[in-house]
Amino acid sequence: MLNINELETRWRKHKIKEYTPLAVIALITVLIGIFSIYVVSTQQVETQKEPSTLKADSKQEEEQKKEITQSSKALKKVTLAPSFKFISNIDNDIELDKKKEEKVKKKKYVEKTNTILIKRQSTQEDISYVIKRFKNNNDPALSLFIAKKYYELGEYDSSYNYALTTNQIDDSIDDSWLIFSKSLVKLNRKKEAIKVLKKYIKHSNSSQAKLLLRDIMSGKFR
Amino acid sequence: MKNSIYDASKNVFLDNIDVREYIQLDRVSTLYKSLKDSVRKPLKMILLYGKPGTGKSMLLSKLHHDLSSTQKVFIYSTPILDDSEFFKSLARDLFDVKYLGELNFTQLMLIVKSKLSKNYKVPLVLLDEAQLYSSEQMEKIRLLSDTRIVKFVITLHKTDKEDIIAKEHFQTRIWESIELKNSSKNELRIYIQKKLMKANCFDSANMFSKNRVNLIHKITKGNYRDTNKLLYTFFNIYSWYCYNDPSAIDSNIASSKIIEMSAIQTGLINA
Repeated sequence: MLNINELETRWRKHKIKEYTPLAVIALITVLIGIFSIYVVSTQQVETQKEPSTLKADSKQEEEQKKEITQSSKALKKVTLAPSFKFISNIDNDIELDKKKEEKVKKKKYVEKTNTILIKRQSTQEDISYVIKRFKNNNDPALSLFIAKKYYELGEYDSSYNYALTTNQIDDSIDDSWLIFSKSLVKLNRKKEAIKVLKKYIKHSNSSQAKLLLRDIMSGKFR
Repeated sequence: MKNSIYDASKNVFLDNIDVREYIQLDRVSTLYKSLKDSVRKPLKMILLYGKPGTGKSMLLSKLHHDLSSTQKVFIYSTPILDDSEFFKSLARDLFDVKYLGELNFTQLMLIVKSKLSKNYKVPLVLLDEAQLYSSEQMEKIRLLSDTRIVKFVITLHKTDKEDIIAKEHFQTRIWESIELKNSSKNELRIYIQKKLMKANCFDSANMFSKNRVNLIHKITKGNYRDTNKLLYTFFNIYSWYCYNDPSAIDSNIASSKIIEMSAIQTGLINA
């Protein structure tokens, strides 16, 4: 006598038994696949990371070297020498502007004479010209240039003002904060300078700012 | 209506040896022809061997059926294990001698000699399941065949033990040995379909696609007896569903689930 219900149960058990090894093999294969994909992807990420980390390391090394050289220079000269590389660009801009103007003038001159007159302006005139341009375009590079020029000329009030203006436009320019702090020191506001530098270092972790702070605090920079 | 079809189909696969249900397959037909040719040759013995369920008994029955109208042929489907009874059966069938009391081999040989004449036609004795005879009996059968007064066709299951029997007793005497094997997938398909169509179960015959026959072949390894057993149970289960849960079955194609259930039921699948 057939017992279909029991037979169906036995059949179901048989199918489970039959497919279990296949399911296990499939599961293992999938897991191996996922694992191998994961391994390959992590390896790729590591290989991609490696050069950048190397670069970062080399950058760090360079920065450390710079710090060492700068600190050694600072030890020798006591005062900081900010980079004025961008000035050449600004100068070029000024020259280009001048050339344009000269070109316009040239035509007039050509009619009169064939000689070109180059008029050398004084530093004060330069500054007033840059100020004029800064008022037009509000470029922080120009305001920084002005601040630096005023600092060089010993007009610390003006350099302070222009550095402050620069910081207000763009608060991430290292040189501007340095000129600002230096100007404060020169204006006998050493405590304020230290406070500003500390805040800035906390924000930017600038090595140059650190050096300057150390110099100010040690009294090397007055 | 369907119920009767499944019931009729079920009965087709009842495991009995009926020559009317013999299914003509190319390979089996060739073997049968070769067996018939061997019988005509002046051989002492013919050995028909193969694994159980490969159709030896069916072939032997068919041979008996086909030759009985033209020559003296006797079939011993079940072995007579007692010596005296076996010899008495031979004396009765071959020489019409009804012997009362014990009959030993020597007495049988005396009967044989007394019955020999010029017009004597060598009778054919078909011994099925010969592996069940003892070694001593087999030795006496060999001696009897050596006299050329009787020709034996014997069937053996192919096992290591039976190979030894074959070697020991018949190696030098059997001039013809025919091996029967399990069917191939194609043969099994033809076998199933022909068997069902012979019983006018055309719908059932159409249920067995190539895939389903392959599954059956995988389970039974092409063994005819196992296939019969499996399909008998298969139609029995189909019949049950037809009465109790008709929506669970598809009458157009044999359900692989029910084929497997049948295999579990018959022990062909161990579940």
